[in-house]
Formats: sequence, C-alpha cells, structure tokens
Amino acid sequence: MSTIPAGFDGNRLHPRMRSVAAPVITMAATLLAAPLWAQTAAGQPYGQPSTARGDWPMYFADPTGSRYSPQDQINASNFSKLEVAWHFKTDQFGGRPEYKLEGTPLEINGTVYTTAGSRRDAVALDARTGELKWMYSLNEGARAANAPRQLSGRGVSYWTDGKDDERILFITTGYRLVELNAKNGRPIESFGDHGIIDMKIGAVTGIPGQPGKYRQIDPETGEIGLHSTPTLVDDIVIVGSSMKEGMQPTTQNNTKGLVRAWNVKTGKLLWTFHNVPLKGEFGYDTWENGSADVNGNAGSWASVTVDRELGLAYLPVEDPTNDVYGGSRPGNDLFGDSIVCVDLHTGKMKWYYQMVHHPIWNMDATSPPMLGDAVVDGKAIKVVAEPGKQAFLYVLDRVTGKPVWPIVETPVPQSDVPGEKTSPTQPFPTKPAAYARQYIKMEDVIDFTPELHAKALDVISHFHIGPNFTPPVVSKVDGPLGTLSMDSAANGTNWEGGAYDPETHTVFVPAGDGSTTVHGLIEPPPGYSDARYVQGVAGRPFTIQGGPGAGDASDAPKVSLDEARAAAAIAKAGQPLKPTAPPVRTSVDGLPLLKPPYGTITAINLDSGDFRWQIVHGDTPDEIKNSPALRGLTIPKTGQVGGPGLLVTKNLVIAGDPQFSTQPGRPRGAMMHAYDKMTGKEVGAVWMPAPQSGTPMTYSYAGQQYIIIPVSGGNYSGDYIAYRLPSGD
Amino acid sequence: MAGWLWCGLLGAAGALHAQNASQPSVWDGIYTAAQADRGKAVYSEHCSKCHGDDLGGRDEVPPLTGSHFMADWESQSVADLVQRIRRTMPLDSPGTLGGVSVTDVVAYLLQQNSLPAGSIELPNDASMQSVIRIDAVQPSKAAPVAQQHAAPAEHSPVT
Repeated sequence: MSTIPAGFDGNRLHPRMRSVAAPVITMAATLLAAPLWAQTAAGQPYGQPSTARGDWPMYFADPTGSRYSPQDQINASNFSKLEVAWHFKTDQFGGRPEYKLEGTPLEINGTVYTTAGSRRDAVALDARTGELKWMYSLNEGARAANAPRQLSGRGVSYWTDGKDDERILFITTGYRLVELNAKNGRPIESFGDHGIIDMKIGAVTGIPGQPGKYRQIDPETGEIGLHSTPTLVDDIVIVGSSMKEGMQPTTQNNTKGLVRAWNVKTGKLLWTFHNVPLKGEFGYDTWENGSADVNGNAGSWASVTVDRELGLAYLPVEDPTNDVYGGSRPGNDLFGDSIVCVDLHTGKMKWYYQMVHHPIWNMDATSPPMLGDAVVDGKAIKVVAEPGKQAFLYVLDRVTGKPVWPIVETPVPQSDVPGEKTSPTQPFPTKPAAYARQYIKMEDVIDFTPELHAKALDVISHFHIGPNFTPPVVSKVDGPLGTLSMDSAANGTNWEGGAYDPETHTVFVPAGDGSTTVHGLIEPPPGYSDARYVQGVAGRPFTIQGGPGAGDASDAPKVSLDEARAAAAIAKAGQPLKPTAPPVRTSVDGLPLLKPPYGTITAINLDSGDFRWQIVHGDTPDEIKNSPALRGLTIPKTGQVGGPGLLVTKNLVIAGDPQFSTQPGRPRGAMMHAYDKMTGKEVGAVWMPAPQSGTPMTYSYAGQQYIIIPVSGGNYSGDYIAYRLPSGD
Repeated sequence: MAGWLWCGLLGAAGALHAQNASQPSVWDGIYTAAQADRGKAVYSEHCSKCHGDDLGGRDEVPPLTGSHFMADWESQSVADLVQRIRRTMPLDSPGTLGGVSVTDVVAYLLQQNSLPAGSIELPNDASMQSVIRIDAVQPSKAAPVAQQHAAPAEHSPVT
C-alpha cells in the first residue's frame, strides 16, 4: 500500500524547480509576457470557475467553506498509485527558506496561484508542470518585520468578470490588500493606490480617559495582520484581521479587531463591522464600565464564508485582549468567541451567537464557518457549523442564528483570581457530542503501565484541574502551578477547520486529542504591560511568549519592540535570572499525560447530529512506538496531534499525517491517507517526504485530476507537491 | 584533543539513513555537560522567548523536546539540525548566531532530550557533525513496540 511515488530518491525529491532571479522590489516580475492561458482555443473566455468544472477557485473551494470538489478520477481503486506530477519548493522566495508552509493553492483553468516564501510573494504556476509563470514581490521593510502574522500565509484569492478580466488578490505581511492582473502579476492600477489598499488605515485603538474617541494605529508599527485569504463573492472582497498571540499582551488597549468589505473593481470601502463595538454600537454595553473602549483584539483570523443567495456573510471572531485574564473587561465581551452573521452588501448585523461568554480560555472561533444543509426531523434547515478548539461543533440555523439542537446554558466553575469575574454559565451543545476530550479526567490518565500511571498522577498533582471551563489560576511556586487544561493550541480543531460534503450533509472534523497545557497567571514585570495578569509560571524567569511566525519576516529587526520593553522592565525590577522552581513539564518519560487517541477525524451527520464514524488518523509517533517505557507492549495506532486539514471529494476524505514517522516498508516521512467518506475505512495512502503543513486541494485539468498538498517540517523546507495518477491509467 | 576518535567516526561506514548500530549516534556521549551549560545560556538569551523556558513551545511554535521534536529529526544528522538553526533561527534575526553558539545550543537540546553527555565536546565542524545520526531511541537496544497495522483502530467517541 505504501509505495514510493516516482520522483523521489530515498528521502529527497529531485528538485526540478527553476531558480528565480533576485527578488523584485515593489514591482511584479513578468516571466511570460503572452497570456497563453486566458482563453480557450476557440477564443472564448473561460467564465466563472467552479469545482464542478474542475477548478479550485477559493481557499476553501467555494464561498460556503466546504473544501469539497466532486472529482472522482482519483478514487479508492487507484489512490495508492498516485505519482508526483511536479513539486514547487519555496526556498528561493524571501531571504531564507520557510519551514511552515500553510497555503492552499488555487487552480483556475490550467494555472495554479498561491503565496510562497518568507516575504509572502504571490506566484502563478502551470497546473500541469509547476513551471513558474510570474511572481509578485513587495518589500515592505520594517512594516513587515514588525507584523504579527508572518511567513507565506494561507494563499490568494481570485476574481473574474467572467470575460477577459482576471485578478488575484492577497494580503501582504504588512496588512496591505494587493490586487494583481492574474495573467501577468502586475498590480491593477485602478484599484486603490496603484493596486494596493493600505488596510491599516481604519484600524484603531481606544484612548484611555476619552470614551468614544479612537486613535488610528501607526502604519509602520501598529499591530494588525492576517494569514488567511480574502473572501471574494461577486464584486465584494471581505477581509478579517488578527493581532499577535494574546497570552501576554503589552497592553489591554490593543488594536480592535474588525472585518471590512471593499469593491473589487473600484477599491471603495463598502462596510466595516467592528468586532469590538464602538461607543453607541450594539454590544458595547456587554463590556462593563465602558471597557470596550480600552480593550482590543477579537479579530477574525479565519476566512469569512458567504451565502450568496441569502446575501449573508458569516464572521468567525476570536478572543478579546488577554487570552487568559479578563479582569479589565468584565461582562460577556461581545463579539469575542462568536459567530456573527452580517448582510453581505451593508455589513449590518443580522444575528450573532457567542460560543464562550467572557472569554478566558483561548477558545477562539478558529475556522471558516461551514454552510450546509440539514434535514432534521423531516424539516429542511440551512445551517452554519463551526468546529473549535474545545471539540464542540456548533450547529445553527444560518438564517435565524438559532441552534438546530438545544445548546444549554450550564453553570461552570467560577474564578478566584483577583479582579476576575467569570460568566456563571457557558453554552453546552447537546448535539453533536464533543468529538475530543475537553478536560482532564482521572480515567483518561495514561495507564499503559502502572509506573507511567503513577508518574502521571504525580505530575498532575502540581496543577489545578476541573471540568469544562475551569478557569486559570494564579500560579504559585508551591502549587498549583496553574490549571491543567486541554491544550487550546493542539486539542480540538484549530485553523484548519473542517470540510462539508453536500451530497450526504456530513461535516468532517480533524481533531487533536489528549494534549495538555498549563494556564497559569503571573503578574508581569512592572512596566511590561498594563494587564494585571498574563500567562506564566511562578518561579521561572519572565520570558515573552512569541506568536506564530512573529519576527519571521525577511527583514525582522534583531530585537523586537516587545523584547526591548520586557528587557527594560526586567532590568528595572531587578528580577532574578535564576529560577526558583524547575521547568514545568506536562509529560511522563516523554509520553503524554493522557491516553490515546492523539489525532482523529470524525464524520458528523448534520441530519441527525450523530457521528457517522470516528477514526484515528496518523501513524503512531516514533517516540511512542519506540519508547523504552512501553517495551513489550502492543499499542493500537495512536494517531498524531496537529493535522492541518482535510479535503473531501466524490468518494474520499483525504488528509496527510502532521508529523514525521518511520514505519516498516517505507522511508522516514509521512503518508497522505484516503478514507472512504461513508465509512472512514482507509482505502489508500501515498508517501510524502515531509508532513502535511497546510490543507490540500484538488483540481482537474486537461483530463487529469491532481491533488496539491503543502508539506514542510523539521529539516524539510516548504514544498507544494502535486500528485496525479500515472499516465495511461 | 581526541582527534583520533573523530577521525574514526568520520570513517564510519554505512549510509546515514540506514539504521546501523556501529554508526555514530547522539547516544554515544557526543557532547559535554560543560558545553550544554554554555548552550543553555545561548538558549535563554535567544530561544526561550518563543520556544519557552521549558522548551515546550506554544501554538505554532514547536516544542524542542518530546515526540514531535524527535520525530522531526529522527535519522537526520546533527549537521542537519545545526544547519537549520543557523540558517533560520532565531526567527527575528536568523543567521546572527555565531557558529560555536549553535553547536553549543544543540548540545543543550540533546541534554534536554535525555541524551547522554560524554567526555568529548561536539565539534563545531559540519563534516564531523554530518556523520552523527539523531536517533530517538538508542539503536542497538531499540525494541519497537508491536503495532497493529492491519486495520486502523476504531475509537468510540469520548465525551
């Protein structure tokens, strides 16, 4: 089953990519002048692309966020025979290689479009050969270096008028919206400022002491950025926002999250939705004492989905400022951790649903809300389904915002942290069931051997534990060091989101499971932040916890602004550099504290709310498989944490392993698996030289179906690998 | 100091990617405790801000101990790890750590991953580092846990 596709030699692919000349500054590089692919042989325009036609025109396939394409040439009978058609390394883009390639490319009528490299360049490739057609590179200098969300991001977006006008849009590291001619990569002069809209204009913070007054953030140093792709429907382009990791904010008065829409042709701003309400707006009063004015974040870092017929857009919103402490923002803090439904054309709110009240668990809305259909008790309902880190799937009527199955406000533990005021209840879906573990239970503690079990219990004894929504605690050197929780980074479903099969009304969600983390609070060094508490462990030196890709950009400064501030605060406070407590570890002999499974895929039937199937996904990690502590034991496949997403086709659910592993019969690497979408049975697998690091896509062109999967990790730098069936099959 | 030992290691036969008990491995005591201490200072100053004081990482920043880290580097050479760090780390100023610093911080990582120290320092030399293989488990003593490969294990929903 696990044959090595042609094109590999042992552990390395033969590089076939043509090297590119030095990066171009502020201009597009056109490598092929004649637009060979804009029209068919008969001279007719291609028109609107779609998955039905074999294209993959959006990050998530179509505006409903399905990640579904009805292609069937690759199926259970031949998946294991897939060969590498071509691959595209991104090493030469930006000043150094990237090792976290998260983009999902687009394909329209024979051309693949995506982002690449540590400067987040945009590229166009020949869909059959991977040949580079054009690249666009914008050197943003310090603005990119200071950006909170770096590397190449999640990809680009496509627009056409259905005739001869085709455009590519994407968001730069420095948070500019760029619009290019899809044929040659040149900026569209008539859009914004020579093809660029500076989206930092309009992003604001509050002004302490001046309620209802707001300050424009600084264009060079102001904190706002985005990995995800713009959503394009008709002539409207919708863009979210995100900030740095929120566990150690330098100020509560951070940039306020927002979602905006522009006209794709004129560049005119159509609407703004303030995720943190401004004074006078609905939701402002859910932040007590006017605290909405001086708190921020609550961005929309996942892409927006759209129901074109209904004219509605669905915004996923993350935590407000300070993921772990909400003392400066008492109240429910709308619209943090919510799904918001707005009018596609005006941005006016239609309804909202808050999944976590007064968020302090880092349980953001992580992924594009999937739009689907359900027939529940004989009644047809248009639904929206949002998975999440806490492994709940929230299923709502997408017209009214009402839950399809009851979601019950349930009393939860209250916080004893000074200044904190937690919500007395939180919403608990009754259906579907949680699809991964949500909190530490004694019966879940690792027990392969009595020794491991005893060691795990000893580790756990240093922490506070409790049921769902147990709050963080102030960290004490003598214990508790913090609250031991499921890891909001690794558990449940994160930015990869799920996929939806319209043929069977099934949502597929990948999940990490069994990963734990510590939510402890410490007072930051004086001068570091105005937040009373931030994430940390007592007795350890204060270190800033950087965010994803923070400082990665090609021109990142040697010392970031935060580090300079922290160093100054630490020096001034005279904090001891020697720790007074040992490092916090939440593992035993290199193994997790909890039993497997560590990675799953669940198929949820939206007509019934029940699971169709749930499987373990990913080979057992080597360190578990080879662990001396488990010598002589038989361990079922455990699955792997961290899988970034899946793809659904006519008959298959396709997902790659998120970690390297070594198995008999194949070299070290990872496998891309195909599962029967009705049963979850594995029907094929093909070897990859590195783990999947971004969500795969599929397209068909010139009679052949391809799958492109982004891989990277460890020693293997970013690579888009395109697979297809052998010729003649 | 013990150049003769390293010459022997350089002469070790066998492809790097084949598991071979006679090939030098990170289990052979290939760094010193003093070197790991130097590496710890480098780590605290340049690495802990993202990878954590406890090497545990966070969100999209990977941990530097544990199964995910060892899986990333299993069967790769020490030179591969040194090269990766030298070229791309720390993220906010890659390529700025002097060569010896990177070698020393790798010694610290090996120590933190419970690999044994020895009497000879890890040399700051790519050709010598390239023959030392990273193994998650000591090669000659590895007894892999039996695996069920025939069918994926079904798992009933856990609530």
